[in-house]
Amino acid sequence: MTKQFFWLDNLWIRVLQHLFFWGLSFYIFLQFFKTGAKAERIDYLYTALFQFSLLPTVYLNLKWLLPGFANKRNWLAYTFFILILISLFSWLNFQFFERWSVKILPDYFFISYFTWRQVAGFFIVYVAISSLLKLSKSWFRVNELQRQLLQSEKQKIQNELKALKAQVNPHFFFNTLNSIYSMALDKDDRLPGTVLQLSDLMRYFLYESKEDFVALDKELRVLNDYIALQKIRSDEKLLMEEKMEGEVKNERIAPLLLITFLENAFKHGNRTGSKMAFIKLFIRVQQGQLDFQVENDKGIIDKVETKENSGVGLENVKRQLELLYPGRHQLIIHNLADRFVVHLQLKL
Amino acid sequence: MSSYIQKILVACSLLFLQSCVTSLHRLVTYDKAAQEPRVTGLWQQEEKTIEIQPVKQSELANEFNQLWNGKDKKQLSEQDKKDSILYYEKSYVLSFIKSDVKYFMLVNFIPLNNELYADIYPLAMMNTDTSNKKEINEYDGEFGYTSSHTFAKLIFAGSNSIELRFLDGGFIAGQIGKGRVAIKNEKDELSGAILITASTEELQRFILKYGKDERLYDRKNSVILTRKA
Repeated sequence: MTKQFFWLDNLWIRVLQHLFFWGLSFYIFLQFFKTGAKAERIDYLYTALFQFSLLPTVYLNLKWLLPGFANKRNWLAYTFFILILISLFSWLNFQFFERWSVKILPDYFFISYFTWRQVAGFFIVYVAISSLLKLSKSWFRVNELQRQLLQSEKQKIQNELKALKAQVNPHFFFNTLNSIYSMALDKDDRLPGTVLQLSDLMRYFLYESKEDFVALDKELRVLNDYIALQKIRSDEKLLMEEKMEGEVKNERIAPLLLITFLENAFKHGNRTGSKMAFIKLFIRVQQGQLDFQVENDKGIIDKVETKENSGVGLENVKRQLELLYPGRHQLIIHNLADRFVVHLQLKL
Repeated sequence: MSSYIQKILVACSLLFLQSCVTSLHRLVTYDKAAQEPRVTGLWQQEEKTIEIQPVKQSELANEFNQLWNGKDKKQLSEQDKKDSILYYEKSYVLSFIKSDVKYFMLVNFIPLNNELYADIYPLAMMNTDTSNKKEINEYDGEFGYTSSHTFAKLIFAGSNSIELRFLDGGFIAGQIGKGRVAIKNEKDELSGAILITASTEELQRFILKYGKDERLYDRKNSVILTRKA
């Protein structure tokens, strides 16, 4: 238990709570039972005896019936035993005040102010109040445990996301460096500019992608930088179609989600032979919903990438979507014979 | 409240000259009230002659008839119907003369614990001086008295003698003062007088439980009624 709820388990505080409850109950009963304008000794005695008869019922219910039957949803047994308990002790109460006190306390004269049924009514009220108090304490306890569980779950998710991001970044750089490697081999003049763009992307990945969510327009700018980088790399062999619609201002998105799909498209694009590779990108933001679709034709996968690393990026992004957009996303991947289509819908 | 209680007590002591219990509520309910023919007739108590008659046959029959029987019974409320049964069908009038004043009291009987109890309630006083025959009015009229109920156990000794054993007001007041009796009451702090304010149901329960406890009765001041020939 946290400090906020220490009172739930502290023995002395619990004792004080019980004393306060019975003290308050005693005061109310005393006002109810007093025979004259002010309470006399007999009134204190009567009240104490009346209240004393309530204790076994209340505590047997709290300590035995509630945990033994009600908590296990055995309502039939609970109802049976609570009725027995209430009937028995209210009958004892009634008999004591109506009959037995003559012999037990011969110097005192008092009667039961109530019929057995009315006494049973008091018992029912006390069982109900004490059960509700117990339930309210349980509610606090469950609430606190839930909060702790949520916190722990959140922490777990954060840790998992960090781990996923840590996997995404090297994966991206691994592919991009392969591209730069190819450019270096070709002694491409655009290499310095490309390295500069890569450095901008690295800045984004290293510093800004650590946030849970980033501005959507920033994520889209990074996408454009990435596309520019890949265009340079692919030279004239890439047919790129981009279409972006809608208002992206004020919208936020988990970083590096979209770029993973794009990266995948470039990676799997046809880069060999004379055939042109094509990538179609469509992004639309409308009423807080993002529609993202990327389509590419199939080519030869980078030879540098090992089989174990294949598909790591897509799996990561799927897991991130589950964690960050539970019930708020739809990811459809069409792996056709000649094309690969990814369609993602996100409620931002 | 204190002057109110005192007036009640004064009325009680005027009638019985003893320490009696005074109760705001009656002991008898219409459904439990008993008709007791054994008590009717003329009785001698010391120098007083006491007459007990059913309400219908008493001097106050007309007044009671008007009050409780004259109305269209269909129009009576449920409570009035019950009161009509209690006061007109099941009540008795006890009367006696003392110092030229005729006292009338309403008496109801109730069997509790196989014993018979009387609930006695002052009704009216009448000046019997023929030169000045003027109704003194009810107790709570001219004198400002408010009537209260007092209770006695009836013990029959054959058909010619009845002992009225009154609940001992002094003992009960003493026990209340010591904090030993749990029965609703109002106490006049100045005079120490006590008016029992427990409900009829509580009074019946008290009698059912403690009716056989002789400590509650003032045996020294029991009223013995002997039937007059």
